[in-house]
Amino acid sequence: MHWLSLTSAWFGLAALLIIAMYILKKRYEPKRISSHLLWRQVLQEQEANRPWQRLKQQLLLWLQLMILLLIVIALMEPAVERKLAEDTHAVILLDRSASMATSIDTDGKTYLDTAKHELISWLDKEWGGGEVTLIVNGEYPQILANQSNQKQELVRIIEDIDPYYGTTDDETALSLARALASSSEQSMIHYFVDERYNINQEIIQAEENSLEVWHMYASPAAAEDERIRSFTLSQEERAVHGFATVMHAPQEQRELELTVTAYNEQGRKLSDKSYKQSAAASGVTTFQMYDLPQGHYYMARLTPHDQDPNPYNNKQYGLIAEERIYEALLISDGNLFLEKALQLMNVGVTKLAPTSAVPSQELLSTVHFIITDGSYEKLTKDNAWKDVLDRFPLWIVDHPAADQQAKLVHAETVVNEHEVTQYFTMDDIFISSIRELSAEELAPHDVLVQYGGAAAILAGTHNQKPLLRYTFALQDSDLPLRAVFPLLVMNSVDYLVSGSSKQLGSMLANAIPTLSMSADTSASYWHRLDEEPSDEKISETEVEDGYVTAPSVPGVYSLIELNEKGDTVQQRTAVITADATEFATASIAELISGSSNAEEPNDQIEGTGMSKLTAWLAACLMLLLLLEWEVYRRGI
Amino acid sequence: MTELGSNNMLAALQQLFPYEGWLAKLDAMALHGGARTRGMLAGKRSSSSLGSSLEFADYRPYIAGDDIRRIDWNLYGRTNKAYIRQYWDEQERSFHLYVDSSRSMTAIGEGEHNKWLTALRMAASVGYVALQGDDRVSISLFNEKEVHRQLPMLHGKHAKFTMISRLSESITEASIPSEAIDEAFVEDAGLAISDAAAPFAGGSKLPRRAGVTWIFSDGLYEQGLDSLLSSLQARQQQVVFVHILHGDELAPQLEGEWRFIDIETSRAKEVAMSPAVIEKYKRGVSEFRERLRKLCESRGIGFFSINCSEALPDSFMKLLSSGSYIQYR
Repeated sequence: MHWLSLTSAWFGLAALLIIAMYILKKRYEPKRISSHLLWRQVLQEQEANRPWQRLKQQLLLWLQLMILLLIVIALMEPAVERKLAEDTHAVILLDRSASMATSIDTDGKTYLDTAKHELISWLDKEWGGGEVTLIVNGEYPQILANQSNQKQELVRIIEDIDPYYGTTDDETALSLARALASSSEQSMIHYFVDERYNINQEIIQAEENSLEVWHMYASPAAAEDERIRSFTLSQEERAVHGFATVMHAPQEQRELELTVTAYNEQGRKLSDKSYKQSAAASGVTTFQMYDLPQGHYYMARLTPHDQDPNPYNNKQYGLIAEERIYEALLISDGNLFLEKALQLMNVGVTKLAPTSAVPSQELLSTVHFIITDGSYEKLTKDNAWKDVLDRFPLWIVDHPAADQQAKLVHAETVVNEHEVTQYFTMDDIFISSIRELSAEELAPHDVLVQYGGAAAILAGTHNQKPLLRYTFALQDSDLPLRAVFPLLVMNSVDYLVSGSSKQLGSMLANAIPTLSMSADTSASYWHRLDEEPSDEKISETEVEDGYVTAPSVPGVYSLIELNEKGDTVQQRTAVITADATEFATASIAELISGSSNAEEPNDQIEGTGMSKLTAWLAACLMLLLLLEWEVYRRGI
Repeated sequence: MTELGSNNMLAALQQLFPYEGWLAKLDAMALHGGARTRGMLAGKRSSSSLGSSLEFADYRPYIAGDDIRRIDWNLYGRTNKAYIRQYWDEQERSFHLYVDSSRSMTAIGEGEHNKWLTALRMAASVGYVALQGDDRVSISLFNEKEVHRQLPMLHGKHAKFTMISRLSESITEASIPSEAIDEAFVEDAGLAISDAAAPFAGGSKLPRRAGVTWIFSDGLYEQGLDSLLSSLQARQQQVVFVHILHGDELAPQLEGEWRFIDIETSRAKEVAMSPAVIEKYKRGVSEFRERLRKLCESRGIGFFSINCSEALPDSFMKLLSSGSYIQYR
């Protein structure tokens, strides 16, 4: 027997109230009668069984106390453990995220392999033969097997599960598992997840009474995980400089060794160079590397220490950021801040007044992106302008009118991780008015910066071309006066021109990147450069088919565009990365062990579940009430 | 009689005979004499002794000293022996009315349906009929402790006014205001046992002369009722027991929990009412009345039961119709 709500026992104090009411109850009313002689028979009988009489007098009290007791017990939510039948529907959620695929346990196997192995052995030994539903996470959760009881098939499916390096939607996967479990009468859920499974406490506790078994893969050394957070390269004339940020356990007294290797266009190793630096106490150490050898792409590798639970993230590829001169079309009544900042970034600015006509094709051919400063709505009403805007990466700066302003509830800023907000903080920045966007306007874009509860900077795409939107006028904010402003403009420009350069930069696995394809391109495929160069064409895509998606396995790839004749039109290099948030230190293990009904992590217990007794208590209560009514009615 | 006195008398009459035409009806009634009894003075009742009435009783031989006028000369002519004719004497009859003034009588029933008032009205009617019939009437009040307010033997039609005024005085004197019910009654306050024979102990309060004794009581004495009846019969009394109970005593309309305080002993008992308890109580009451009836009937004593919640004339008419205690002339 378990009590799900022990604190409700305090309601038992109401018994004192009932007893007090009986103590304070009106006594027998006095009445004078001629003689007890007439009552002798009645009184004799009453006196003959006086103890019973006394009990009977208090019978209502006892009944009421019992009713109260039952109510209190019901409030305490008693539950008994019940054994589950063998044909229980088992819902299995397997986490195949990057952290599962790359973290290594003591045997040297990845968590994902261990989880697959344990899942198969669970099928072998503990599975009762009931239906099994297998779910894996990903951008969207996937049901790999639905209520199947074919063991061979299940084993095959499990063995074929590939890791997913992109951003996984863990909460949706959990919700789906619970929804599937609740659809059948007897069900249990097995979670095979690691400690970086991205859900919060409310969601873990949302389902109180379902039978959930957590198979948690975690390492006590998780905090010791060292990783390269960023690796960027720049070229000044012929010299290549590198910059890397290494995350490690703080207060670590150790020397870190970073090796940078240069590769050529075919993925052949050219040369490498090692850098040593002692770890900083803050937990973040930066390496600045000058005069790197020339190469097409580079790999930085941090020499792992013995206990590193995830050597995979000690490696990162980088491409040289190209020095290029971009041309921007600024449609504005005049914005000195922006013009200066763009000039600082070597961006050539062609200014146009919002009232002017569509520029000539000649001018447009030199433009890389368009900035609309407070005139976006007006321009989109003009079809000619709309066509132009649709063809270019777009940077919208809103000038919110008085009736468009969002209500700013506080001055707090939330900056979400994005390439535009890299190295960018917005502490103490003031924005006086922000345009309120409708849900339709917000939905397709990522909110990068939130200010006072409203979206301040959004990023997204339109027609697979980058789109950036500042919902506030730069004049309404002290942001242009801050040191971070040029950085923000630089990131913004980089974002807007991404995909138009010779190199594609870095992109997330399985993501749909922003790309500008050549006009002649009719098909494209990815070609892997790193590790084992091969001629395998990965994810061939016809241009008409739609979006080009990034490869699913991190690495360095070439995107090769072909024309209708099959000749190569363009070849650009991209670094495909795993979702970096997967490697951030976060542990749900405590959350789960703190949750009342969860089993011990990694402790595989054959199902026992909670079955509430409230219905039985309600039935007892009704019986007691009936009894009380009978007692009252009969007056016994 | 002064004017004030006549006013008082009118009020007393109103109290004791509030029913229209009731006195006229009583005038037409006579109390049943019962067997021949010895009286003291000449009256209208046939006596058990020989006397000078017109009712022939017997012959007996003349002895010296007899009044020669009473010799039956016809018989002497036939038999040549002197016989004397004897006649039954006619004497007055004594009616002794005992009214129970114990608290169980006086405090039960509101207004017109008070047991005590009913008992006094009953006694007044019986006494009135007796006095109209030239009989002697004595009225006494008694409770568990004493016999009090004994009226001397009344005789003659004029004496009825005395009787009425004295009885009307008793109405107010003995009744206890109902506000006296209070919490002062505690359980087992008095352990005295009510004894009906106690006030008559010593016999001085019992009637000296043979006659008819009417007892108006609720009979709620724990003991002594049978010895009282025995000693009355020993005094050559023909006894009529009028048992008076209130409607609330016969069939109480009670609900909830009550603390019953015995008005005489002040003892308290707690009873939780229920239909079952009421049924049991009713059975107990009828058993009690049956016991009293048997006690009386086994001694040849007249028993008559009255519910004081009913109108007095109705009860009286029932008494009349039974024929054994009262009749039309």
